[in-house]
Amino acid sequence: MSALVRLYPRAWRERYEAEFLTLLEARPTTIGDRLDIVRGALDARLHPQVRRDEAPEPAPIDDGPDDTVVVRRLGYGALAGAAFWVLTWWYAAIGSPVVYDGYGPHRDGSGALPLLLLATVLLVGGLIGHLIMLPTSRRAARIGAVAAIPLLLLWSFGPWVVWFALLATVALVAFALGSLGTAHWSRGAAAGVTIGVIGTIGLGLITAGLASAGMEPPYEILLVIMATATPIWLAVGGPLTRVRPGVAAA
Amino acid sequence: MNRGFEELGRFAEPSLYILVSLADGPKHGYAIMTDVEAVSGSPMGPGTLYGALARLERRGLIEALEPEDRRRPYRLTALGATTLEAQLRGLSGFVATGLARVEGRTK
Repeated sequence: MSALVRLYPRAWRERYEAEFLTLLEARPTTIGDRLDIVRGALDARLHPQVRRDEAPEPAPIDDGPDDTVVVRRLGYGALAGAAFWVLTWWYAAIGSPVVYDGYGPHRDGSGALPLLLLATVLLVGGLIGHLIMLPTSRRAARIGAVAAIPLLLLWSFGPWVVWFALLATVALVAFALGSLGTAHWSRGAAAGVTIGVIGTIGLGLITAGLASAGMEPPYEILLVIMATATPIWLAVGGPLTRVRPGVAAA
Repeated sequence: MNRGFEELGRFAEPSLYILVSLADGPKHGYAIMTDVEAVSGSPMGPGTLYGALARLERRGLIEALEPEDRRRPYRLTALGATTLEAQLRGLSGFVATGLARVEGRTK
């Protein structure tokens, strides 16, 4: 039925489409109704009563879930992703079984891969939410978010490929800093992403340095290193949960 | 019908029915459609209904109210009420004259 409504001119649809579709949904549509709609559309084109520059705009009709509802859900998803992220590395560092093979005793964290993928997908969802909110003029932020999405997903399938993670963090920082000054972002959120990135990389480098110096940090330090990235999920998700129609997030 | 309604062409009669329907209070599209069908005995198609609503709204005879759950009610304006009354009075005189002549023939 909505295909028939598209026969009407754009200005007419902007003004009447929502209520017209509601009317059509309220009762079964006969062939006579369909012909009447086609005739009405032809009339609206030949004798336009509504012109775009003078279309009466009483009050917008709530046309179902708007973008801000979707964005808020993506924000809550990203916040939930923070929990899955910590759980992933708890399992990898502490909860996974110890195996004995040619590499000596070590933990088999492969069981955490589904959790890692879930945490990453939820973060990617948050980035998509920001892409919805970001003005098109914020090119650096948008490029950062768009670049981070495939890099994060690729890394979640092969977390041993560190380059994916490093490039993703660069893209995330570009997104965080490039978003500064927009209505739905804040300095605190930018700081959260940056601290998450720098903290994780810094702790990783320190731990690697200690190991190369002959000191043997406990394996459980992996949980501390990776959990330091948790603010990224919180910073991405938090602002999205405060987005409201016509009201910018703090 | 006066000149204001004549220019509505095929929408003149549906427009009059809509004004009558709104005379007892605001209604949304579906309520107008069912009311008109009850009053006139014949259904009004959705394309005709909204063709007439657009014309009446453009002429300031009706106005849209705040939407209620995706349905937007319309109400008669003061100009619409005046126009409707003039139309009905004109029709009333026409009906009275017609009936008198018909009754004269049958006597």
